[in-house]
Amino acid sequence: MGTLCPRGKIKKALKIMKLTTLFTLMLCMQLHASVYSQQTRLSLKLSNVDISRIFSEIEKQSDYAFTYPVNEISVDKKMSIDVKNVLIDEIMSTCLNEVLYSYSVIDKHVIITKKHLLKVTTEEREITGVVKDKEGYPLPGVSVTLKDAPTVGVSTDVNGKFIIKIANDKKVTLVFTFIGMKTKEITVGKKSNYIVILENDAEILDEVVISTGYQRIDRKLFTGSAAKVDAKDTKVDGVADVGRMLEGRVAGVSVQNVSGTFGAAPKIRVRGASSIYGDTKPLWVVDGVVLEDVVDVSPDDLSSGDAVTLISSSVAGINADDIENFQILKDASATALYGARAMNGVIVITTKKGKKGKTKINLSSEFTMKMKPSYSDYDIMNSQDQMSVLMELQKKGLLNHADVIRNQNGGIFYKMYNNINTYDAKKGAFVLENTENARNNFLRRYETANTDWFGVLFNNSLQQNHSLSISSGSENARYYASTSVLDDKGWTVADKVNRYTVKLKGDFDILKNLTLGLQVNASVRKQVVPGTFGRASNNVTGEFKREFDINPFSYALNTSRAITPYDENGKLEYFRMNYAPFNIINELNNNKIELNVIDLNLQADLSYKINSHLEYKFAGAVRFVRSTNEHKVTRFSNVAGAYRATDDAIVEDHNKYLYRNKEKPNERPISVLNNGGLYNRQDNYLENYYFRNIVNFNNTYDETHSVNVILGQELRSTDRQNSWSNGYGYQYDKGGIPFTDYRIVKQILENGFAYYGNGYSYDRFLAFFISSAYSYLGKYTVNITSRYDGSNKLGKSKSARWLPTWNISGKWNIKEEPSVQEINWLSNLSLRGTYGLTASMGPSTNSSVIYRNSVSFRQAEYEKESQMYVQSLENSELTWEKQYETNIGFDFGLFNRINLSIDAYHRRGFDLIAAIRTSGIGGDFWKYGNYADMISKGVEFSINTRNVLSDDFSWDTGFTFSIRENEITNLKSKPNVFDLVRSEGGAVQGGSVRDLYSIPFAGLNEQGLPTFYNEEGEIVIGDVNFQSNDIDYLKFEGSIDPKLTGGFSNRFKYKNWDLNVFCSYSFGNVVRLYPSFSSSYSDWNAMSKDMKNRWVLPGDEKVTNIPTIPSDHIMDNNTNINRAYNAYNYSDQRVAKGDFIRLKEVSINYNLPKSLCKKINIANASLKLQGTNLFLLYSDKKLNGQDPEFIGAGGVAMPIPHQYTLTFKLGF
Amino acid sequence: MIMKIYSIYISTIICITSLLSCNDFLDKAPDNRAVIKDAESISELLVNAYPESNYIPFTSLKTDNSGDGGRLAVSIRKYEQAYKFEDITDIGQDTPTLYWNSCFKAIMHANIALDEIIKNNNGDEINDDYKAVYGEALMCRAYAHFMLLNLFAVPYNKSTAGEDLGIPWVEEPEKVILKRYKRETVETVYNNIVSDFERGIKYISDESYSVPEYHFNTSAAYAFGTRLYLTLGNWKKVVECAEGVFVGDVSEILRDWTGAYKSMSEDQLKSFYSSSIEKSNLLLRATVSPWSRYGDITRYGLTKEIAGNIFSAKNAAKGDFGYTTLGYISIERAYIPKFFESFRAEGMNAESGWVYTTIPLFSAEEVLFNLAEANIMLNRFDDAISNLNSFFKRRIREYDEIENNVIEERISQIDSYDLTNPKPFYSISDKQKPFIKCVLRLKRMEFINEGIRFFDIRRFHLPVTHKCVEGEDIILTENDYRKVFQIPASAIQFGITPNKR
Repeated sequence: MGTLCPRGKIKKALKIMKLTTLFTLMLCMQLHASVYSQQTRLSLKLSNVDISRIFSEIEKQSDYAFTYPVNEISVDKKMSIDVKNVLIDEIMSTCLNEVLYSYSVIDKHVIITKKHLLKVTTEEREITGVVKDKEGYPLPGVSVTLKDAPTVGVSTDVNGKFIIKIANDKKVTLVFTFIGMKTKEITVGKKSNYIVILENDAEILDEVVISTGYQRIDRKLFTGSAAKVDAKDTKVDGVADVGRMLEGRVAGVSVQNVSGTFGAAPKIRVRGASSIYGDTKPLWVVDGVVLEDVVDVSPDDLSSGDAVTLISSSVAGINADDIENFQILKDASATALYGARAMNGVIVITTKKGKKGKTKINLSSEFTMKMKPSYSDYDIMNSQDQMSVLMELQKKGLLNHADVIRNQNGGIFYKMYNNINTYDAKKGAFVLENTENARNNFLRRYETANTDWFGVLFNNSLQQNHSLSISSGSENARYYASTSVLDDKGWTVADKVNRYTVKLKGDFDILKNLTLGLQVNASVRKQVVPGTFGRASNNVTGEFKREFDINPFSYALNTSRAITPYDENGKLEYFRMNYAPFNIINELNNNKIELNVIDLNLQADLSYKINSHLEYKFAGAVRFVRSTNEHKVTRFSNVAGAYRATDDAIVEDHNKYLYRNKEKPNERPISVLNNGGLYNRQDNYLENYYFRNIVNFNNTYDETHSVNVILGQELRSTDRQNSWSNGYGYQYDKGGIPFTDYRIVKQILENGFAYYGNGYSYDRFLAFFISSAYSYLGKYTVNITSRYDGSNKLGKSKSARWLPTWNISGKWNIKEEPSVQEINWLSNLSLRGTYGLTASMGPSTNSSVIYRNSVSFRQAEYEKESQMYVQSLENSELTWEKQYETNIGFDFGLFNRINLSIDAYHRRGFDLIAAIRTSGIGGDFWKYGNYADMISKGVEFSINTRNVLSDDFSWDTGFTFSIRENEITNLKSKPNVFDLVRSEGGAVQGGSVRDLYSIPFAGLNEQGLPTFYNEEGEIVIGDVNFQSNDIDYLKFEGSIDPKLTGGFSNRFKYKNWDLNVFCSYSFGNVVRLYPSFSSSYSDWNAMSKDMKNRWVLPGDEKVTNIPTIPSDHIMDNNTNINRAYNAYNYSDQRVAKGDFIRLKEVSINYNLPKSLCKKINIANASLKLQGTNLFLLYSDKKLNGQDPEFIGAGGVAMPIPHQYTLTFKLGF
Repeated sequence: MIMKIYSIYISTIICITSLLSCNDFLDKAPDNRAVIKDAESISELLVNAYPESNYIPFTSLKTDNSGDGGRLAVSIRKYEQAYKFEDITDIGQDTPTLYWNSCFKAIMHANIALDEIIKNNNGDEINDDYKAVYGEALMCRAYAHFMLLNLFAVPYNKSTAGEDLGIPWVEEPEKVILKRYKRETVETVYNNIVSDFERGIKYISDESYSVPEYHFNTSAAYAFGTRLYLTLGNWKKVVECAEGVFVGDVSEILRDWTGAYKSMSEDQLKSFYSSSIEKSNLLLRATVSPWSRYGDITRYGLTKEIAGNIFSAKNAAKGDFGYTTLGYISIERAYIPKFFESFRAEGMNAESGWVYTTIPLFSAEEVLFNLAEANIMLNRFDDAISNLNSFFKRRIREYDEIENNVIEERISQIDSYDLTNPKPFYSISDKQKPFIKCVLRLKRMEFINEGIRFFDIRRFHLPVTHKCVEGEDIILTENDYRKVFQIPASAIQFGITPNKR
């Protein structure tokens, strides 16, 4: 540890360093106190030197470390010493004037204290006591002084005990001070025996060390921009995915919860995006090893709701209780050692370690209740209003008998007409009489249904998370073991999650200078989600479509409340979807995805101290992840039904799931899934190896010049496999025997698809790096890092694959300047600066020609043949995406109460990969090349204040704020209209990474139809070309990524009570509202209340912008009406601001008093009640209360629920 | 000191061991991309050395086979621009720009194949394994350049070809993002095409193909030869090449409009016409083009009036043509079912995707006409008549060998009604002229909706008049610059000289 440890004059730093270690060691004092035999023999020959020099010489020669009160010992006293082969005691007695000083050797720590000569009077009495830490362990070496006479005092012994004599007649206050602990004052009363508990000075301790994953470095000497977050402060109980905990906690880190489903990664960006088409995810590093993603899901696809997003979060397998802290590395200097993958920032997770001392057991149990969504949050018509709209539709001729009965989807009216058509032989009559009276009676039931779909499909479910950890350690070995069980019964009726984690970690001191750490992390996840097929975009009409979407949340939002899940007899009631019977409850039972993930990670760390300056470190890790995604569709599902729907000729003609024999164009379409259902399976496999060797040199010359050099090498190898297969005719209820019609396979092949597939990808990475740091007296620090990365990703060419990155940074610790040191109220002042080159792998891999194989698409099966095609030509100029970054940072501390940190950065991204249009003559019209540039800049600001601090009450406030903007300064790609208006937005030169545009709305016409301006400025209805590259006429709405993000936390502490209130906020982005408008509404669709204000009569166009429901007549006379309504969904009318302030967390925690704990023989116990994601304090009115982070994507995506968590913690 | 030695020692070891192995380590391909390892993989690569776009829409719409179907029919802008002889601004499917791109894409595949073949062989010495792919690659490169030249450059004229601007000739794979190209002269490009063709034809081997109808099989290669040499006016070569295609009775491999085709439904006809079972199809290509969906029904194209004029005009065989011509009731459009739509969805069950239209690139009929034309120019009139008879045998309803036999007189009488005079760069004798006209008329009819007519309009400098329901007629004159498509804007942007406008 401690890469840069300047000695000598920077005593404060030294002391803190030492005492940190000491503090850790003290935990085992009870077992090991005073048993250390001081056998190490030392030889010293020094003349006329400071005492401190003698101490440091001893430290060099041995493992002894000295701790002494700087202000009280005259370290500059000159003396000479010449001893050979003596014990420490001998030296100490030579050096110290034993009248004035005493010393004790605890373990390897030599603690020197000043003896206080007390004036003895008759009126004095003896006060005794013991000083302990929060955990109940005695603290030796605590200085106990009198407040009135600070020079008078004693120190606690190895058992934390002290005896002090005080004057009997006066009111005396004792002051307990210990570095790393908060100073405590106690007014002595009648009692003569006290137990004093000192609390950690969390702020000081936390700020001490920065762990970059490669090295641990003294914060004072750290030149980069980084933020540390303690897990215990940020842990959101009841949220299993640790990625989500960083929301609003760190300036410059934005977390957008685009899907709340377990396993789906939030969109995390450190300082915004730095690549246009490439990866923008930060790099996750756990205990020094890069955590690879099992699948690569692009930032745009994170919100797609596709099943693959369930394994997009690499950290979902980590038990939050195992995490010690997060370190977010933001600028080029902080990330320099990560080289060419750190362009998007690095998040370093350090997990807990075993500690020497008594075995400690911690138990934690969380019970989380997720609240059902409610209609009051959404803007959806009730069944009465819905029915009146349907009646209007019927009047307009849109729900006529002949059409409805043949529609793909049908609700109430379909049912009514169907009943009229159905003859019941038993009754001897039609199921429903075709009279107005009978029809009205039939409809009345639905009009008053007012189905609460949220009530039907959601549960106020209970999620439990239990975790147990054991930490223990002896002289030469330390262990940490933990296990956790997460059981989520599911927020909806169709999902549930179980996750089990195990962590075993041991650190062994094999030799005096050789330490070995071994750890095993394993997690198993079993998850069930509603069955979903992949999302597909239709560029022609501008729609996203998902076949058979049964996402309960979007179902509840989009299904008419007049439709009922159960009939009068309490049986499931079926309507029609995809020409087949449909009931959501039946469907959720018969169409689901089962996901199993097994993640195993083995890691070994070794460190060998060659001598006191040189250390060799090795880290190696192996990780295997296997995920299986089984989509099970039984024969009772609507999906299977759709494959079989052949009611009549019209259905046959329209049902695309039927088979049409291309070789016999005259044959009727037929069903090719007559038996069983579907068994679609997808397997992902990850195999990851990681090795690192580091040599670290560390020395201080003349106690002024500290030098630190790291030389290292790193190797990474990741193999990924993705295989899938679609099984047809699997009979779940008949012993799992497949009964496949060969023609379904034929159908797939004829359409140019495969029914199974398998793909591999290989990632090889090699890097060499050197980092050297120099510090003068800890005042001025300069750091130069350079790294040489090689990757196979760019392709075969040997020239493109290597890339050097470098960085230079410096820090001026102004506080260390003698003149500033005097200023007491100024506890910290420093200035940092960074300039460097970072890089990242772009999305292009064609440094040599890329060939792909496929099967040619041709009219007839026998005409097909294997083909090879050039996916992209060789780009001999291909290189990495790069960025020059400048960072200026400023840290400021006042009265030890206020800590302020400001960072400003400027990033110039260049050689970014973008598509560029060529002359076409080379054969590749669109090429991906390093042809784009981007500039980003921003300011980050975080302030922590301790507003009130007293024995019983404290109030801390934290506020983070970051503002950023980026501009694409050069981009040759030309997106089409759809790329820009869809909710994910697109990239345009002059804009930000993803900007949202709208089709300019030109009002409703006299028929109530929406009109738009086209390229030529003309007003058109449906003539909007979504595929057009003419984009100049589109209306700019804004960036889809927030410009301003942050959080505001307040922590109140009163005696044993803790209250925590945390808000997160985000401003400056726009969101596209859910595309709910359509030219034709079936009797299925739910409508928004906006529809009440729709155009009904001519003249309404002056007062409303909500288009009419087009009549049959209008539909017949206007082509492209469908496109007009889609254009409306993508118009400026359907955009809202994404700004919000969210009450993210309110929690109240009660710690059982120590005295009580002691009585029942436990170390600690607490009870916490927490509300998470409670409500939005502010958001755009246009959203009608909907969460701006989640606009509804279907598939497996779900919003973040409101939830309440009760947590019990128990420690032994 | 010891420390220093240690550190040097350790770092040296780390560096040496890792550097030695690192390039091997990084040689691993990042994904399961294909590698070219033998002649078989080159042959697979050549599947894509044929342009994947359709030239028929924009060429066919410019011919005199197209008319205005009336306001009720749906109009597609790019088709309308082609019909009105305007520059087509769209760059998507069925546009000259996409065809330009896909021809060069085909050339790229051919060039990469050639590059790999040369790498695997010693110079011009081609191993037996590679002979077939070498031949095909050269043929493909020649064909794509030929098509580009005949769309984006002025028609071949022996006396000016040395100065006329042709198209860029590309013969090596591109290795940088943006490479500069320039247009070579028409003569240079033709010389290169001929050189590729002559070299390639020697190596073409039918045995090497699993689906020969989609590759330059011997017949297809020779068919290309007839078109190439016809354009250059090298008649003897045309006859030579045609002999490479026809063995035995020519009419056996012609489309059987009066026989098998008669009993087919519209859908059957569409799928059969452009399938590999039809022997007449010498070379097919599945193109990404909605022409099969829109070609018959959109506003511009064959009209009932034009169809009537074409089919009812007197012909040299004195009989009725047996084509299946269909028309609409509500709009003026007519069509001959020729193209079948194959829909390739973006994903299984997806609503959107690509329409594929399989088109014949070469057919036996074209070779027959090319042969007839060469025979005429070589004054072998009897041979020419025999060629025409073979054709009529499969086109005239209830064909009678004697009754419908073509005689020279009838050719000169009937076909001199046509007033437009062919004006190629070479001279035509008075005796040859009616024969040439006769061939051109039959060819125009045979290749309705297939674009071949457009190349004849260019070659013979024929004028075209397009009627419009709204507004005046639009006339394309003999030497109209609009017969040459404009170089795509994206290429002009990169310094390619545009055509005269």
